[in-house]
Amino acid sequence: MKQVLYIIEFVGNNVFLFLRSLLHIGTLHRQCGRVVEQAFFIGYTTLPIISILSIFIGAVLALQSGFTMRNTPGAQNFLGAIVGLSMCRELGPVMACFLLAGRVGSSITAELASMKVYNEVDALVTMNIPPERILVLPRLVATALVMPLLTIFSIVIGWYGGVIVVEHVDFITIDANTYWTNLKQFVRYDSVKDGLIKAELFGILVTLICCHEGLHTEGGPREIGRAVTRGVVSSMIVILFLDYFVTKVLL
Amino acid sequence: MSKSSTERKAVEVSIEHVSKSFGTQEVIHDVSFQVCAGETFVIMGPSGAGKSVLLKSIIGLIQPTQGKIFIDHLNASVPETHREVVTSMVFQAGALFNSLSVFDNLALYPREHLLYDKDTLEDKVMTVLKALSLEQAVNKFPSELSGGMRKRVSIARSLMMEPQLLLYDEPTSELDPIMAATISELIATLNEEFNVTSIVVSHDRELAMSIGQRVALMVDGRIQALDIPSKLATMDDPVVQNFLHPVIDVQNPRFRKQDF
Ligand SMILES: Nc1ncnc2c1ncn2[C@@H]1O[C@H](COP(=O)(O)OP(=O)(O)O)[C@@H](O)[C@H]1O
Ligand SMILES: [Mg+2]
Repeated sequence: MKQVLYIIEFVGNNVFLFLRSLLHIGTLHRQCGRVVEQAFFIGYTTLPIISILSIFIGAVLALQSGFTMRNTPGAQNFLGAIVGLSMCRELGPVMACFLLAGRVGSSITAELASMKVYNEVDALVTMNIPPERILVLPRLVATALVMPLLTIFSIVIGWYGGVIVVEHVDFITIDANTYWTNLKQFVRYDSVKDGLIKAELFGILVTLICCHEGLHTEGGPREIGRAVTRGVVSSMIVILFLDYFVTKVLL
Repeated sequence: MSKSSTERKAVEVSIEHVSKSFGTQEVIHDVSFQVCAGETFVIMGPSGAGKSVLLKSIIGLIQPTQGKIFIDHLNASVPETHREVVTSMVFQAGALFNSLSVFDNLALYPREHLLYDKDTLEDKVMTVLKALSLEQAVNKFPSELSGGMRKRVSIARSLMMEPQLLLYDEPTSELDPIMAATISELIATLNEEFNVTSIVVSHDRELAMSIGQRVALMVDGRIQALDIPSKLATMDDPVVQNFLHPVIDVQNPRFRKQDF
C-alpha cells in the first residue's frame, strides 16, 4: 500500500513539476542562453560515451547474430535488417536515454540538490523567480532539442559498428554491400520515427525526474548523494517500464 | 538610490501568536511582536532558539503552524504578498548562486523582472558594488570570495531588489571582529539611506546593542525580553543578564565530564 502511494506521489509530483515549468514557456525567448548552454552540456558530455557504446552494441549484435546464423544458408543476408532495426527501434534511443540519465541526469540532480541544500533555491523563491522557470524549463527544452540528434547519431554509429564486423569477421560471409542493401530494404522512415519518439519521450522524462529529485532534496549535503542515486535509478526504471508499453503502442 | 526606492515606503511587520512545529517538536511558541516601518529590529538569542525559522516564516518560506504574520497588513504566508511588497532576505551562508559571477548574481533579479535596460543595469550593479567596496570582485565567482566578501555580496544582491523589508540571518557570524563591525555599520547606514525596515537575527551582542533600535531576546522559541538596547542592558532578568554577560567559569564549567 505504501509503495502504491509512493508511486502515485512520484508520478503526481513529476506531472506537476512539468506543468509548472510549461507555465513559463512564455519566458523562453529570454532564456535562449540557458537553453543553448544546457544543450551543449548534454551534447558534449554524452556524445563520446554514446559513440563508444553504440559502435560496440552494433558490432556485438552483428557478431552474435552472424555466429548463430553461420550454418543456415542465406540467413546472414538479414544481418542488415537485424542490426538496422534493433538499433533504430530500440537500442539507439534506449541507450541514449540511459546514458543521458547516467551522465546528464546525475549532474542535474547533483546541481539542483546542492542549490536546494545551500538555500540557493530559497533565495530564488524570495526573489520571486520560480525555480521551475530558470532551472527546469531550459533543461527540458535543451533535452528535447538534443535528444533526436543524439539518437540519430547513436543509430548511425551502431550501423557502422555492424558493418565493421560484417567485413572483418571470417564466419560472416556477406559483404558490406549486402548488409547495407538489406538494411535499407527493412529500415523504413517509420522505424526511425518510432525510435525518435521514444528517445524524445524518455529523454524529457529523465530530465524531469532528475530535476524533481534535485529540487526536492531536504537536509544536509549528505542528501545530495542520495538524491543523485534516486534520480538516476528512478529514471532508468521508468525508461524500462515505459519502453515496453510504448513499444507495444508503436508496433 | 532610484526614484522607485523613494516612492516605495518601508513597511511594518506584525507577528501575531505565531507557533511553528516540525513534527512533534515545537520550535516557536506563541511569539508576538510588531516591527515599525523603517525600524532596525534585532532578534538576539542562543543558537537553536528558532530565530532562523522565524525569519523564514516572515519571508514566506516556512508556514507557521499557528498564528499569522502580516507585512503591511498583508498575510506573509501567501506568495502574492511578496510580489506586492518587495521583501528580501540575506541568508546565513549567503546563498549566492555558485554558478554565476558576482555581477550576474546581482543582475539576476532585475534581469528576470525586466527592470532596467542593459546600461542602466550595469550602472546599478556597479553603484551597489561600490557602496559595499566590492568593485574588485565583480567578475569573481562566489567560491573565490572570502567569508566577509560573500556576506557583502549577499547584502548587495538584496539591495538590488530595493526591498521594503530586509531580513538578515546572522550577518556577522563567522566574521572577524573588524569585518563584523563593518557589516554592522553597513546595516545601520543602509537602513537610513534606503528607507527600509530591517529585521536582523544575530547572536552578536555588540551588533544588537549598537544598531538595534529595539532588541528582542529569543530563548527556546519564546521572546524572553523586548526593549530598547539601553533598557535591555539594565534588565534584572537573570536569563537576559546571563545571555548578555555570560560568565566563563573554568572552576565550575557548565558541562562536566561525568555529564556525558
Ligand atoms: N526544517 C526543519 N526541520 C526540523 N527541524 C528544524 C528545521 N529547521 C529548524 N529546525 C529546528 O528548529 C530549531 C530552531 O532552529 P533555528 O531557527 O535554525 O535556530 P537558530 O535560532 O539558531 O537560527 C532547532 O532545534 C532546529 O533543530
Ligand atoms: Mg539560524
